[in-house]
Amino acid sequence: MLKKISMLMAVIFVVFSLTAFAAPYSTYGGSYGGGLVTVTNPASSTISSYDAVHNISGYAVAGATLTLYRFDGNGYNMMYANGAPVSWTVGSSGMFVKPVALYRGQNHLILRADYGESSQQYRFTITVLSSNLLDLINSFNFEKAD
Amino acid sequence: MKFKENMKNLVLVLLIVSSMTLTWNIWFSEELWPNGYNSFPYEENIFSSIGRKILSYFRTGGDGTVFHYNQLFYPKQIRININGKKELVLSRSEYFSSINNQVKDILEIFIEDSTVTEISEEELKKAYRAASVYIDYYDDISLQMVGAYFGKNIPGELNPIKEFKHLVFSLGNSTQEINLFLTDSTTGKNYQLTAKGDISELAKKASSAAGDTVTGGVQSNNYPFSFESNFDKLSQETGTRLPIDPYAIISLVPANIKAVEGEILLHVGDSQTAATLSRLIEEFSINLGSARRFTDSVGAYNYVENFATLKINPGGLMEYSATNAEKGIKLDKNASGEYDLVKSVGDFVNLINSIVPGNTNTLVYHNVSEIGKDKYKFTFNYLADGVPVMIRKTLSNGEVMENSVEVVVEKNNIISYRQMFVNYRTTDQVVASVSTIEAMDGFYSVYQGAWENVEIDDFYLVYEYDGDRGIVLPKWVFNLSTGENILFHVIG
Repeated sequence: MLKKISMLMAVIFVVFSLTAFAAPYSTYGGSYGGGLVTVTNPASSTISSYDAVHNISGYAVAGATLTLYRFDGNGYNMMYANGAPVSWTVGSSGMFVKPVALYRGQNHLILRADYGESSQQYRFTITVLSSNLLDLINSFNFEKAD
Repeated sequence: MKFKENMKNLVLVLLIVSSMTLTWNIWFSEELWPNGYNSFPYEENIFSSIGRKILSYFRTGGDGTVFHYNQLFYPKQIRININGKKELVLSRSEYFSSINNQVKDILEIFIEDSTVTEISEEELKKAYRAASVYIDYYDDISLQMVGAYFGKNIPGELNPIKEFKHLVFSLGNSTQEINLFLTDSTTGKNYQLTAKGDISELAKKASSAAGDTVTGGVQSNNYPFSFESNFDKLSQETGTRLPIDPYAIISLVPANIKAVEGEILLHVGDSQTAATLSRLIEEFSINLGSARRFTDSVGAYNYVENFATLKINPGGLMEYSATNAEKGIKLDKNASGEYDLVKSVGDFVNLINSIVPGNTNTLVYHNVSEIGKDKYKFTFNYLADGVPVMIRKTLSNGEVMENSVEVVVEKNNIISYRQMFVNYRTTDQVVASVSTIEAMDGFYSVYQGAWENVEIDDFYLVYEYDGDRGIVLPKWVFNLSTGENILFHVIG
């Protein structure tokens, strides 16, 4: 009996843990879903910028949790800044602006929105340029990341 | 016989001297009469009028009370974009005044001689994104007024530009040429102004200011413009959000909002105030010899002349009013343009402000509005730690006072003057720490207005002093394109 209760408690713990940490550490690298989040910056899914710190902005359903993922060669993994995941909850305005430190060159990113049982992903690429012409040329090489 | 003649002459001289002394005392406010006694009940005391004229002649701000540039053109914030760092310089920064003074010198160069080119919105946005110093004001600034400050007429080339709210100085490499970008608030057209000059001194100050910020040598992007996030293109379809002025700054760094305490500086009834009151009464040309004095039911001191009243309220509020324009406080009769009047009123406000000791806040010009024929209302506010303090005080006549100083001028005479003599002292206690996005969250939780054809023009922090309860609270102000101002408490 004690064993059954322990197992039940363990199942409950795991289920609640999953609910609390809705965004997984890694995610599938494609865009899907709709209606939860709209990204206004970058304005398109592929952009180039001279800013090493780029502001990802837009609007989402109030109360949605947004999480940023970056392609690191093996897959899309949660981004970290100062030791913590780049994840936040959208307030009542629905608006958000999140500054993200990027690498020079191509940065393949995913913004994931979780709200209740629903989720949405938006994939985009930001190429950080330097004044170096070679970087400018490389920026036109958009490789598939998924 | 001769002795008798001498005695008569002596008596006569004594009588004349005595008569002159007594007359002098009556004319120039010695208290020969009981309180409330009015020696000239029906006609204005012409001698107090002479005294007023003499006073107004000397009332030129020569004692350090001249209304100066930083009181007149006080920026809300300065944004620096240099060496990959985008930082905000607020008034509490040591660089704020020095950058604003540098801007003053450069503006004078532009007023003297510059070329003007109309540019597209994209070209303007490019200038905003590039290395630059951006000056953001609370209200539109009249170019005519800037010219008048420098004592210069606006050259013909600058005629298309009437008012602006933001200035962007390009920090290029040239030491021969300065480029200034702005939008005319009246037409919405964008301009590039070019003048001969050296921007390096401003660039040096900007670089120092950016280097002293918390991010150190690391690149930062914590103060984007609204257009960089495309927040100027938001609309009802995007989900009940209003578009934000493209050049408004979205601050991602939470601002630490400190608690502020208000200290009443003008009390009624203590000996220290007696001397201050005497000076104020003198400056408002109230003749103590002829004015009736009484303390009313709320404890306010009232000084009533035939044509003017001065009232000192227990909460630090002073009110002056004249019965008509001719009987008010005379300003410079030659003051004609907006700048002349603002300067004239500003000098007088500085003079009155200097009389009441203990105020450590900066007093800045807010605005002027026409409230009748040849009748204007000028408003001024104090800054607490660089943040404007708004007033909310219900007056005995039912009006609500909203600014620290409110002056009504008719035909170049001050006919009404109100000032709240309170010093606002910031404490070390942080009451809230909020970013622009959190301010937006607050706005949308209180906004009940329309969604179509409405834009958020500006938003900023103020302190509101409740003159009835004596408390100071931080509030957000959202200016909408409809002219509506939404105020709500800062929650953070």
